[in-house]
Amino acid sequence: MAANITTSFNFTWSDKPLNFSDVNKAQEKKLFLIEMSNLLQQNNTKEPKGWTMRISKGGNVYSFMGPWGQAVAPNVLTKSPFMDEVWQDVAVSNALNNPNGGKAYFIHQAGAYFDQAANPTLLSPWYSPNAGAFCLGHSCSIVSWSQHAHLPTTFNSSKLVFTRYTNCGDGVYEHVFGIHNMATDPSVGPPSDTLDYFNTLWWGVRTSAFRDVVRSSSSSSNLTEITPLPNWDAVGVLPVSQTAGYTVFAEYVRFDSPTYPLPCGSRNGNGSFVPCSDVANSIPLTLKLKAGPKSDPGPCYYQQSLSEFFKIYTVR
Amino acid sequence: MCELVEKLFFFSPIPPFFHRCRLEPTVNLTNGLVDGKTPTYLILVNPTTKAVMHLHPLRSVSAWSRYSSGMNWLIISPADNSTKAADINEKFPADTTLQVQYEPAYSLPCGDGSGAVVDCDSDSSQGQPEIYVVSLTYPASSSNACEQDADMTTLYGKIVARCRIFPTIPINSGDPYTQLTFVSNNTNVKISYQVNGVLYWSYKNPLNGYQYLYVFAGDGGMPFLRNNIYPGLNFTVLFQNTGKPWDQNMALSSVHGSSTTLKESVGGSVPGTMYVNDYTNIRYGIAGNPARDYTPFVSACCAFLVCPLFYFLSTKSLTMLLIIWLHSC
Repeated sequence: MAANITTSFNFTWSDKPLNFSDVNKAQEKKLFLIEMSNLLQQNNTKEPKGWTMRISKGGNVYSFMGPWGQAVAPNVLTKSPFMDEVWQDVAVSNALNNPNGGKAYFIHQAGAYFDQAANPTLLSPWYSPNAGAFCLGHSCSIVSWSQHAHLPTTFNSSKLVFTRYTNCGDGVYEHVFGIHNMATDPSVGPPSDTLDYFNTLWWGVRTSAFRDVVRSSSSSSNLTEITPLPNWDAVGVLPVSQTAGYTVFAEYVRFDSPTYPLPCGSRNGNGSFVPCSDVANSIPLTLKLKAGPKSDPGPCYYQQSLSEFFKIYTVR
Repeated sequence: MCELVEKLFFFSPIPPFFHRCRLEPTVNLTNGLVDGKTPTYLILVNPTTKAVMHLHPLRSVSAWSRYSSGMNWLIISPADNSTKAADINEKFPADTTLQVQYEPAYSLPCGDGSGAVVDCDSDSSQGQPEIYVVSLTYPASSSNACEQDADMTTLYGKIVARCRIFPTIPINSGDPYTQLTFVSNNTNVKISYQVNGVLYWSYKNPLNGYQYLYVFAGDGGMPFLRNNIYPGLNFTVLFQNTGKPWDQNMALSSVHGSSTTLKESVGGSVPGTMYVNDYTNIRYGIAGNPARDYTPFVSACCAFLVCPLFYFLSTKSLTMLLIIWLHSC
């Protein structure tokens, strides 16, 4: 962990412009648990390492602000106020999940959908209850009881999630979580459920803030750039073993323009151009930069003579 | 030669600066791309870091590899006069093999004579408009060619300029969301101007039949247009790649791991080991409804978690410039 790290925690909600949808932003106060910041400059776009996150009672991140603005989706859907388009883990029992039969089995770390059409008596969003939270040094640890997302449900949730966020410094944070199945007897069926499919994490970014993705590849030293991002439905799954370990969401990546064909020179060294097609008399040009002397190791530098010659500022 | 340089007109807002860079031994080429021979803007690219530097539109490369003092030298002029040698060395350190790219020509639409756009290969196509500016009081030749359109400026909330052009195929639409560069084709005087979009390519005023090019004004605004765009100029339109270089891209990254030897921890799950029943996969893409402004990204894995087992996982997220992030790896 880097030295000179500073971290702040705040358990008191404050009204800040988080840039969420008007449809749901009033709900934000209800799920707030902790605000955590690395206290680096929050508006420095040249060194964009400052961040401030808000963590919900369920232990998931629902706001992540920095020089780019808000990274989490605006949450425009009334039926899912900060319990779907957030950064959370999800657990499923494949044996019990039967959406077509009206028995969806998805346990969200954040809480349940606020679908009043399906649940007329539901007057307020039901967020996952918090069992405890503790912040010290540069970490916050939270324990919460994750809830079934689809209501009404006949299932109980046996998922207890332990989450820890650590400010590692230099713009990096670590998210560690452990899922505990607290069902008492696996042999008797619900609520003793086997959880066998997980989203670790269900993450995501605000498209208008990060419109491109650049991904590492285990088969190439170059990053795989995808511009613009495809639609979710158009993309299949990708084995993580093929990714070389990380995925980067970036603002607006410049894609390559056409390559300009470099000229060829004469084999006799007179400095003239020779068509590259004249293989016998031409030598291809290579622009590999060479370091200067130790006193000025950069390849490029100010050049006074050309400045005076062209009457234009020149760097040698 | 010094006199020749003094006679050149550099109407691009800032005269070019020259930089000289050492090259590993290569062929001797004493010339570069000179005025009148530069088809498009050139861009130096570091293929490893994706850092870019635009070269001056009119004097980009003075010498590709001039052999002097026992060394091959690349002599270049950046487009931005604030670029210093230290900036270049930071983007293009020693051992970088430079790649040269160029901004391609923009493909103008074709019209059928009614003001509508048609496929250039269709039978009804009458070709592309020509951007040949004339006096606002054409056929008089002494006045300006461009003026600010007050109504359009009010409507769009940003400066809209219109330049009267010689009668051509009317195209009553434009490309308002793409930055484009207009470069004059005239050989004696060069003008380069970047606009923030084209509202109409060749709008034909139904009242008087005059035709105008409508643009969202770029750097220099109306003063540049009034002072430098004069009757008699014709232009080629270039596409401007407006994406940010990697060293200017703020980025947010998820380190989700990759090593299959780490079983079900950050490296991803391996079927048949411990309680794992499938490999870890990732998936990402824009959510179907654009109003959600949402790009889900998920790492999914499959472990049998029966009571009272405990599943543990760790990930990291990083916030920084794309290029700095790469350097830190």
